[in-house]
Amino acid sequence: MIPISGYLIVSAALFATGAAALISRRNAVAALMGVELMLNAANLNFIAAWRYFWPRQLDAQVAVLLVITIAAAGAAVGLAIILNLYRRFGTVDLEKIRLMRG
Amino acid sequence: MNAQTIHYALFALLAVVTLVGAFRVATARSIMHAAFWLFPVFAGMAGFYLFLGAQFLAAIQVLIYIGAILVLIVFAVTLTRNSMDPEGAQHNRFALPVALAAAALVLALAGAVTKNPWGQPAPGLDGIGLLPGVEVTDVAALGVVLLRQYLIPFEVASVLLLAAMIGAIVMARKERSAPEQIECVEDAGMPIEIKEDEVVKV
Repeated sequence: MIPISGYLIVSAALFATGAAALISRRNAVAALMGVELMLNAANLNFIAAWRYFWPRQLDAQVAVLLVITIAAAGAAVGLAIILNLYRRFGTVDLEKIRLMRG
Repeated sequence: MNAQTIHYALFALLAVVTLVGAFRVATARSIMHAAFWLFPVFAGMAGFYLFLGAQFLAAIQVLIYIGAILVLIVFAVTLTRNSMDPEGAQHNRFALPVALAAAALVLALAGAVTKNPWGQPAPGLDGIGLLPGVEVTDVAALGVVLLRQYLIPFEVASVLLLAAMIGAIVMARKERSAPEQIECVEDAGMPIEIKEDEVVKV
């Protein structure tokens, strides 16, 4: 059986990539993709810990189901906001949308 | 090649597919390519869930992430087309420091994870062997836990989904704001009484 650190390292790399995409991408849709990557990394951690330490309690699977639900809701609302931004500013470039900056 | 070797090789393949996909999502120049590179990430995650014996979550991952979220993102990409210069910079000025910080984070976490004594994994579940060293969980047990112990979070999540759905519809709808209507009336040279009539009607 693969040691748990294998899964945790993959998850860490996925999370770091998602965070980097969220912070540095200029396209708002790409930033949202970064959020999805980070949520996936968290889910992988949950399931790896469940399998290795508490395989008879299903709490981690429930948590992952709820995270997937919230990710879907977040994606729907986030993309609706991005569509609104696109209509309002004609762009989804986060560098050019300066409404809430000084 | 024994079962252990196959297991490790499959894990390495999944890890490479997932992480290359994630890297391309973060770096691809074309936003449409980035959206399609999400597919190997989500599919690889479903593979990891299968490896860990959470086969129901693997199915859910394929249904929700690949079937719903990925399609939604591709829709958003097509709806916001031509809004960014594909030849211009796709990353802001923090790109290099962020990349370095991400690499440092991965190294630090990998070091911590490999150094930590995790101990022996808990004894496996009783079930059918899916792959060597992989067993499956009982979906019925998950349903019971979800509807007994976690009933309230489950219902709250349903309400959240409903609220998100309504919110997304309201926000993404083409809005006809009041000032524009008044401008239209003035442009058409209509008398002011019509506006007042509308106000009365409302």
